[in-house]
Amino acid sequence: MNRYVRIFFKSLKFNLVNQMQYKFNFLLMLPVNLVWTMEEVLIALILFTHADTMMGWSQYEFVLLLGTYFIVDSLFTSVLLPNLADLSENIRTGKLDFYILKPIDTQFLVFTHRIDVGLVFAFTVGVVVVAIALLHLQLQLPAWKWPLFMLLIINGALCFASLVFIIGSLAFKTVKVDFAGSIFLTFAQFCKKPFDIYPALVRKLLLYLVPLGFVSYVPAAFLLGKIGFLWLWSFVVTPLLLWLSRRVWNGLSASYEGASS
Amino acid sequence: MSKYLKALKLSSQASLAYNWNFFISTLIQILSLLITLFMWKAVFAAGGDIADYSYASMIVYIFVVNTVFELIGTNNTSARVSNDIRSGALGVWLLRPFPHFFSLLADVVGSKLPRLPALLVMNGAACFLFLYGHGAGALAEGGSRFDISAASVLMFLVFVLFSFLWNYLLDYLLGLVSFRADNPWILFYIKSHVTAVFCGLIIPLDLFPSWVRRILDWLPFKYYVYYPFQVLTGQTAWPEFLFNLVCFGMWLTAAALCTLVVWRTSIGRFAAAGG
Repeated sequence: MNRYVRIFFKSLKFNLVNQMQYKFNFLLMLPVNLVWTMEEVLIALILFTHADTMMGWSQYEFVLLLGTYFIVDSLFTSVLLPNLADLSENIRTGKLDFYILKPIDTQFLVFTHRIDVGLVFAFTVGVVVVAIALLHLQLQLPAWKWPLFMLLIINGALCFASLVFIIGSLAFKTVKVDFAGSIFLTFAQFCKKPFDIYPALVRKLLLYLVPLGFVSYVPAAFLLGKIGFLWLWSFVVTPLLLWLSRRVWNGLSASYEGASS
Repeated sequence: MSKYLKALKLSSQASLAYNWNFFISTLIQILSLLITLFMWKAVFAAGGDIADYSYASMIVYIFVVNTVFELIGTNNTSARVSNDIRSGALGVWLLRPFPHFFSLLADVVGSKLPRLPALLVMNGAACFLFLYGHGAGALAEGGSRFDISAASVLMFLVFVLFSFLWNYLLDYLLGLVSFRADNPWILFYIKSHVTAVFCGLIIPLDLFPSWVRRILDWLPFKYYVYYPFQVLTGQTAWPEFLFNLVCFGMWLTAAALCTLVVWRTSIGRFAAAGG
């Protein structure tokens, strides 16, 4: 495990050096992350000028949900999404051979070799948005809720990652997975809204079939005391989904045939 | 002209090669529309109208503006121009007997044309089903607030054409930044996000706070989708339409001039090596 953590941070360092070569882009990363998050917050604030609550969610409760999502999303857009885009190209050209030959888990290498260092900015912006929302909400939270909230966020990130692994693995069958990026952007849209706004059937599907509910809705709703014991499911669903994604990856990657010369 | 028509035809044929990709993309787009509509349903849950919008008219608004936004999309023109410059592929284009700008334009138009009927049918059907799902009252009211006529449709089509040209010019201009910066993808990202919010794609511009509206009145964002919708639904008179058309024409001319100046001053710096 330590070896993988070391490799991840080494990869982060090399990516940092690489991305700092493009000074223009590098310097704009923080403003870009601000633009992206402010856009979402602005939409929420405008909507709440026309409604006091949205299915029981007040303005800053909604902002708290957004901040929670930004934290999880920093992992997705900075680590998983760029690598997902590379995967089908590597399968098509046979470059995946080089990953398979390395003395390290292929799935880990495939999904972490490219890291967008905007991760640090995006994560920080997410934490700041959550902090601002909590300041406005002035909640009196018991101490035990904080570590659980953080664990639920980690579970949310792992759930999202598992879904990426499962859809990414389809590249071994279809080669082209251009639509995967759009699918995840739609998933992201689901996660950025309180699940109470969806019809009951959609809500159930998003909690138990494609468990996007555990990405940001469950952690935020848990902190706000809006769900009963649903959050306990997060500790069941996350390992199950990780296990399933591993099985799908192993099953589908077995059909890979190197194409390089 | 015939060479551009050939390019347009080739692009149309190429785009039809990946039908399943198109249908999946359209389904995903409709799914994301539904998320926006669920959000509006929650906002309207308290009852009554918001400004001049009922829930049914908001459904129609969201479907129309999102369809227009799809129509005026330029298939990542910024990234394609940027890649051509950075990879040196532009060198090959410079040897060809037609300008890079018009070739890409023909390619973008060609890839959109065959998909146009399917896009209109699928989005129209989804809108109808969503209104129908909310009862006959919503279905009847969805269109009753709007005054659509042959003239308003014609004016709308003129604006959509201008919006497409504006979007293409702006994307092409942003791509040209690659002559000066190594990899300006961040600019493309900012442009797409800022545009999506301030063009009225998620929230109609008349529901923005008044101080934001005052700023937006001076900017061309409203011409992407919000103003064309106003035109289509008969909410603008001829003098106002002509005034906005002239304003938009001036924005278009300014963008075209900027593109020409940046191209002329940058092409001399371009160097491509290899074969």
